Amino acid sequence: MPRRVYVEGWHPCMLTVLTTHRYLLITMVRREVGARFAGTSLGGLWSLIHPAILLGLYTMVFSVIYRVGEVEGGHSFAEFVFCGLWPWLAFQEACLRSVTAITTNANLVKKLQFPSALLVVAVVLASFLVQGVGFLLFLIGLMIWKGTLLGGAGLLLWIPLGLSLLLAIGLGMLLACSNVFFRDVEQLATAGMTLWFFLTPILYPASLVPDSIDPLFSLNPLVSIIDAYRSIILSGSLNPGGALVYSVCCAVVLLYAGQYVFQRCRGFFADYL
Amino acid sequence: MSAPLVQSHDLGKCYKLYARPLDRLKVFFAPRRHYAQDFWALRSVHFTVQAGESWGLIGRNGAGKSTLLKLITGVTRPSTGRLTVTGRLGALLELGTGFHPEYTGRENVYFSAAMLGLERDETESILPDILDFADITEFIDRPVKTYSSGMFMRLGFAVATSVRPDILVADEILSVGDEAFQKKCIRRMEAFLERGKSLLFCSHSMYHVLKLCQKALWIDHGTVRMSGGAAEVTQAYEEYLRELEARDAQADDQPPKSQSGADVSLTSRLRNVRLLNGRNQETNVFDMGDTARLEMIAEVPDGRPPVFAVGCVRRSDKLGIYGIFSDMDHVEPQRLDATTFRIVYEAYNLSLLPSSYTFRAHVLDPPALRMFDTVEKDFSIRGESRELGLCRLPHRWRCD
Repeated sequence: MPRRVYVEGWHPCMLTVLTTHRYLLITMVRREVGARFAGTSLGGLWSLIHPAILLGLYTMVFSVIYRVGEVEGGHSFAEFVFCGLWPWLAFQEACLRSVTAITTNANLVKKLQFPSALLVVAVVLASFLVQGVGFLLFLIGLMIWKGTLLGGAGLLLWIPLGLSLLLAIGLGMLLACSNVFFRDVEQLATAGMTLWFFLTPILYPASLVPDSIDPLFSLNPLVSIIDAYRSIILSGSLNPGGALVYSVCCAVVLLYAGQYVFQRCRGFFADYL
Repeated sequence: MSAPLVQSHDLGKCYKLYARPLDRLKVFFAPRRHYAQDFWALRSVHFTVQAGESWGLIGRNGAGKSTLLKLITGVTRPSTGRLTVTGRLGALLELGTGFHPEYTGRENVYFSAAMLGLERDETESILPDILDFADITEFIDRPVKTYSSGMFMRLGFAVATSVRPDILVADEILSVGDEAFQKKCIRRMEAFLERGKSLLFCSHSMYHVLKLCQKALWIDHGTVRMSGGAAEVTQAYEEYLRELEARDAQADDQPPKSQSGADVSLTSRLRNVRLLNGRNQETNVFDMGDTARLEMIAEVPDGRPPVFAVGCVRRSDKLGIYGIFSDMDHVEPQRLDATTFRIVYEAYNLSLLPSSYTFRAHVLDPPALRMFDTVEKDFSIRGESRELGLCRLPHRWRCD
């Protein structure tokens, strides 16, 4: 028989929540993905169209207008941007949507008792899933176009993917939580993500960053993650494997902080929504 | 199995009220200063629900009923005290919580059931039961936005009650539907109780509380005012409501519920109406079998003996139970002076079942065609009875 006792400082560990509520999480992810395209006639195609427009736009501005030729190791600008753009979009979407994960589901949080952390995890997973499908399709297209096959190295993609996923969940928890108490977070996050986009080497290689600002620049845990994606796809190996250690640390710290803060605050959500 | 399903000890819930959103931010940086105003929605509530018990939760709006339900369902956390909830809990704080309008009924059922803690195969096994109750067989695969509000409510109620909780917590859900819906829900809750499950039911309808609950908890201004048998508590609560109403009426300085005609000088008027018991003491509480006397004194400008009438209605829904005119029984009122008449209507061996009722006293012109004045007198029959309906019909059981 399930038993619930409330005393001060009560909060169960997130990992147990995830394993015991697997089915609920899957249902939530399915609903989240479906809700994104509900009522549209093109449906899931939109998840391809939107990033494709962005990719085309950046290619035109930088390749055609600025005449940027080949980037790092003889790759075209379009493939270079492609490697970083999809992972970034997944991360950005996950963060921005998790900001409102709790506030838009206020009716659920106020009326039912359930692990509300799942709402954040579901939103992050759904974002990665939607962008992931687009990423995979374009990746296959790229391989056909170049005539090269991304063999076993493709399996390495799980490393940067998992890292960015964990980062997004940790950050998403903090954002979702704080937005319940201060709605300003929503505005702040939108501005912050634009800033973060340009501070991450997506449109430019990290090697072009001047040494003077490099220490500051490297504080961004996404730098080595995007680099990892790029080296796996373009050269079939995970070159600067060591650089990822910092990102791993960041992910662990954020994840722990996120779930800790979230579990501490979630009892008050219903009072503030 | 003797462990209580719900047990609260000194339970309290305090909400912090901030004047401005910015004040919340300030608290983070200066937690010692007080920006918030404390509001205690609940204070020192001791409350236990044993397996198989059904509790009605009553009280005025804002008394703290919903807060208690939110605490028990785990939606919000108590500020003080201790709360233990054992067993699977079905929360029905709102009908159709989390239904997404773009999704079909079936998809929403699966989602709702998952939110209530069910696995996929469990949901599949209760789906026929849900469809049966909701009665929307051909609509189940259409988006919920196309549903009528009745279909929506039935589906929501069906899901929450089909998950087979050990205790069902329901907040004022019957008030939204029509009578057919209410009856359907009550039947389902009764079946649920017959299986030995527990119910915690919040309602403003004493009728529903008496029908479904053995016990009742009366919450007033965040504290438990009374707790005990449903009949006893609901009667005390209704008594209290009547007192409040009377006080309001006095504050408004209105004559007590008299609907006198426009030209008072020419029409008859009830000058005094008193409700007395068998010993001629004024009262408005009776036991079954008592004698109730309604004394009416009327002023009749033209001095002709008027016709008096008395009606008895149930207070909650004004359902007429009995009505009689003095001229039907060929009774003439007693003449006190040239323009004043008096009559006493005596109801002996009162057979009304415990509840709240109203006597309506009327004065009419001699041919009993025009009604001039009406005065209402509320009264209640106290006591406990498991009989159903309005009044006890003279009866006996025979086995020959």
